[in-house]
Amino acid sequence: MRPKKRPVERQPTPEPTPDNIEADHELFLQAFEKPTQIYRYLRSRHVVLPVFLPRTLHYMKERSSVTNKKRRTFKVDSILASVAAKHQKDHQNRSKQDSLTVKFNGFFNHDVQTDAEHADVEIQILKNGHRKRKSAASTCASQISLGKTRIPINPASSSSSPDNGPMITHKFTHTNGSLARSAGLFVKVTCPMRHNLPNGLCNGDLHSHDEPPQKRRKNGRVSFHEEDPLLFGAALRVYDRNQQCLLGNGQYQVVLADLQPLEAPPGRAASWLSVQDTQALEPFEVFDKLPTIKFNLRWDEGGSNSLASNGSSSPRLSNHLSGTKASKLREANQSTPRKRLKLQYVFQYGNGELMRQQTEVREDLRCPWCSLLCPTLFGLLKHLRLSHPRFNFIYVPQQKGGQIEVTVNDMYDGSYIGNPQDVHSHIGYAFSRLGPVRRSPVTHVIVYRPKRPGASLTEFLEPETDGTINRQIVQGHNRLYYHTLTCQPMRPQEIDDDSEAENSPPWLFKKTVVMIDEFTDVNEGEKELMKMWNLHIMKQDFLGFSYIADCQIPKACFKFVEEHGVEILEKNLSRNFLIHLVNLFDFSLVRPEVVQRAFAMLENLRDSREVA
Amino acid sequence: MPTWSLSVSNMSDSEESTLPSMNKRQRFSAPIYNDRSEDEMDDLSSTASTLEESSRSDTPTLPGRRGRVVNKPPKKCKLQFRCSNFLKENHGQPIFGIQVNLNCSDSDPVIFATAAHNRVSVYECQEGGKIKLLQAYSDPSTEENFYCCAWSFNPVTNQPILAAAGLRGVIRVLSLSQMQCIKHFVGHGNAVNELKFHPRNCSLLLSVSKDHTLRIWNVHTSVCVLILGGVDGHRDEVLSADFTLSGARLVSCGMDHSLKIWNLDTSEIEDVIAESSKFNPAKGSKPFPTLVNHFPDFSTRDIHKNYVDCTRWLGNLILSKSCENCIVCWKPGPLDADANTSSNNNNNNKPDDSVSVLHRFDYRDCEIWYMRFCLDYQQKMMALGNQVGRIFLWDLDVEDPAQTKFTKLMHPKCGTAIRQTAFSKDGNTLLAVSDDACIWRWDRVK
Repeated sequence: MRPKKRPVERQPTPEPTPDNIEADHELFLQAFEKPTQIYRYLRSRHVVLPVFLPRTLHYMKERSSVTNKKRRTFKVDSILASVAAKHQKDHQNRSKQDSLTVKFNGFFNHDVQTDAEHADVEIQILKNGHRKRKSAASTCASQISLGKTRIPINPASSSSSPDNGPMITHKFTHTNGSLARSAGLFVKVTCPMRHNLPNGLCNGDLHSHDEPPQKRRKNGRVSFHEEDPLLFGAALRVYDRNQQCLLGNGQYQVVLADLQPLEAPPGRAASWLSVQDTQALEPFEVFDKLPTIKFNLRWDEGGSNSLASNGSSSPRLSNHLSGTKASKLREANQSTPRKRLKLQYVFQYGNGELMRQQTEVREDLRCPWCSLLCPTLFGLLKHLRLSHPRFNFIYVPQQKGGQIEVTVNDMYDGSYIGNPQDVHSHIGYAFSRLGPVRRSPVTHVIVYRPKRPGASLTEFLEPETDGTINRQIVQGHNRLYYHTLTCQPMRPQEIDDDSEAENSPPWLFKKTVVMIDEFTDVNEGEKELMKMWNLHIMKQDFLGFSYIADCQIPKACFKFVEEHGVEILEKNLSRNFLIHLVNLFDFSLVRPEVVQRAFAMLENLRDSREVA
Repeated sequence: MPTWSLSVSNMSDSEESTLPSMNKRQRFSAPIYNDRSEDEMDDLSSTASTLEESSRSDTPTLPGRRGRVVNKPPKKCKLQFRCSNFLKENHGQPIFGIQVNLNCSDSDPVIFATAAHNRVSVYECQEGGKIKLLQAYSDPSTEENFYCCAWSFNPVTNQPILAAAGLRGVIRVLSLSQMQCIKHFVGHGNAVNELKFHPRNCSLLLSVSKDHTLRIWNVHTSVCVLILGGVDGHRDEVLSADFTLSGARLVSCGMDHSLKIWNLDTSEIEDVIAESSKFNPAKGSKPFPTLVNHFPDFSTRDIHKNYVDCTRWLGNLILSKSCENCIVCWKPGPLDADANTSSNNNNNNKPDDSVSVLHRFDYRDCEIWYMRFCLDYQQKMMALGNQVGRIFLWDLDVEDPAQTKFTKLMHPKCGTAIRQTAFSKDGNTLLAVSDDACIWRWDRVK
């Protein structure tokens, strides 16, 4: 479906009556509906059965996620060496000790009403071993406490200096054959509670301050023992199964989950508990409203305690993936807001004197017809011009984004002139969905690298001209021809077989004979001779030449005697032949000596037969 | 008992003025006759078939009596059919063609195909008058209007294939097992009016076209084997054609009022047919040398005075009809001549154009063209629909053609032209298609 268009501007600006709008819409559809349908169809066909990948196009290079830079220097033999080197490096890295330093900034929970200034924080490491299934009697996850410290609750941001804050360090050892492969950190915060806390406000429920306390009890999220400290926790994964480090250096702000409901309320058996529903919150609100803990995390390789690097150059970052949703740094996401792009499509239509237009604003570089996401504006315009030639596109630069004027290309030749067999002549039917088939052997230039001007938007400022129009590279007969006789389409390899040669077909001989037979005022002898003569004149010699001119008649006469002399004598038609020759003389086709000579040839033939 | 009368005459070449020209394809709306007391009476009998105890047959020597009920000893026609079901295709367009798949054993269900609009639908006749739609093929072109279809099978897999063609002149070969169009043949310059497969060779497909020619195709090697037409071929649309049981000859008829017989057992044609089955277009760059035969072995314009829109062989005899309310049974040459020698018993090489008319099957209300009659597999029954929705059913299984009787099948809801009928292989089911997109199933009452 087309996205909705809204009429913005009409040049004559009539009153926008409903009738007018409808008629306008009708005109719009009339102009754009058909090509759009075609392009939608082509798009879905391309999705199902792509002929090419857009990233292979020169103006879509950015779509390709893999660069080809190494290709030039690539040698097949180098694969083993590079893999071995990588393996070696990994091995060295693993054998090293990495020490992890976590410096806490503080525990932030604005809803907690506590008079305590410090909360206890404990970091545990969770290691998941991968044992063989049979021997795994129980879970082999081990939980080791790395240490405990006290961190301030809700410190002022300025007061917390990272250098002298509470910190925990731990040394990770990578034993090579270790079964424990993935490891995670578990941060546990114990927050002591004020004793005479009003019921129900002990927990950080943000949405329901006005909710009656009794009701809140029922949802089981509230601690029933107000005297107990509140427990919060969060898990962070350090290594994944492939022993890749997911936790890079940097400052972390981690949303803590309330661990309290893990304890079932007394008097209740197991029942469904609603887990803290963070879904209700916007992704970044969680940091404001839920309890969080802030800490700096730093890896020191090989036990060296250099604090110089802030870790952004650490090789681990190269494969840093967003581990948990909440652990993403908020700043990292919001510090680089994308430049808002406004692309205005102006659809112009209407007949001659009354041009109308409708506009549609888009904020991305997706093609409106095939929703292909183009990496650049240049790529989009190039794509539009090349893939949607049923339209004309003209680019008008504006302050932000630009404007693309779309008109229906009246010059577009949508008639199907190509030979359908030519479509497959390059590749045969080798890509048939019905299995492999024989390719037709064809020699064509299939790699062609023309000199391309650099990517510049100026070429889209004016309509395509004949010179700049992108023509197909394979030129030649791109038409479907038909055999004259059978009206069947001519295959490319049959093109040299001239079926149009106007030779004397066999049926014409037959028909001539039949038509001569149908004369009623001619005697049988005359008919026989006329048949022989007519067929002789119609006949072609071995070179394909037939008699076409009067000057050839003498030659035809001699040839006739040579070829049919015996038959003439056998059928006793020599007098008929003589009359025929005289008749030719009467019509000034032959000279008298030709008559004499031709008949003499026949006489000679008769004599030689009589002798024999 | 009337004597067998012969109408032997020579073909005249003069172009006789044709009858008031009829609009092609646009079959004129049938006039409603109110004076048919017979019909009204018949209508009371609802869905059951009504019998008309008379042979409407007439001999050409008694032209004055044609159309009147000839009194004969009233003998009941033993064919009785009951309408067991009818259904309507949702396109609402006339259904022009129906064909039952006869390439099956007697135990197999009755499968038939209809050609209408841009669709070919395949149905199965089930017990109790049920008709089940199995498949429907819809042509990609909305302008297509299929006129006809024909059944054959793949000689390797024995899977049924179905050929269909119509207005656009493109012959589509549909595979029922693959549920798609596996081949198409382009070449006819205009609409295709009828398709027939060779009775002995399942690869040979005969197509009969508006472009004045007939073509024979090899559907498995995709070549056009033979073109029948040209100087002495049809001078107007060819409307119908039929192979003899052996496939050695075929008869064609068309809008030029003529019927032509073409021998296919000449060495030249047999060679080209043999070559066509071996032809592989991928191996060579030469097109298949299609043979063109311009000269029919027999031609006549003496049987009908209007468009000849259907013809069938009945042994060595030919049944043909025009829009003159009469199916003529005739044979080329004099009556006593042997069928094989009739064409070459003249010394002066002049083709013998005489014909012998044996019998006329008369009926009513069928003055529009493109109305096809059909014979059952045993060639013992003949059925023809008319433009007001009645079906005439002749019992041909009689000693003397003069004794043939017909039954008139009628249904109160069936009032439009019935274009074509088809018998199941066992002859127990008669299927008919009509202009209001309906398929009628009549089951035989034992």
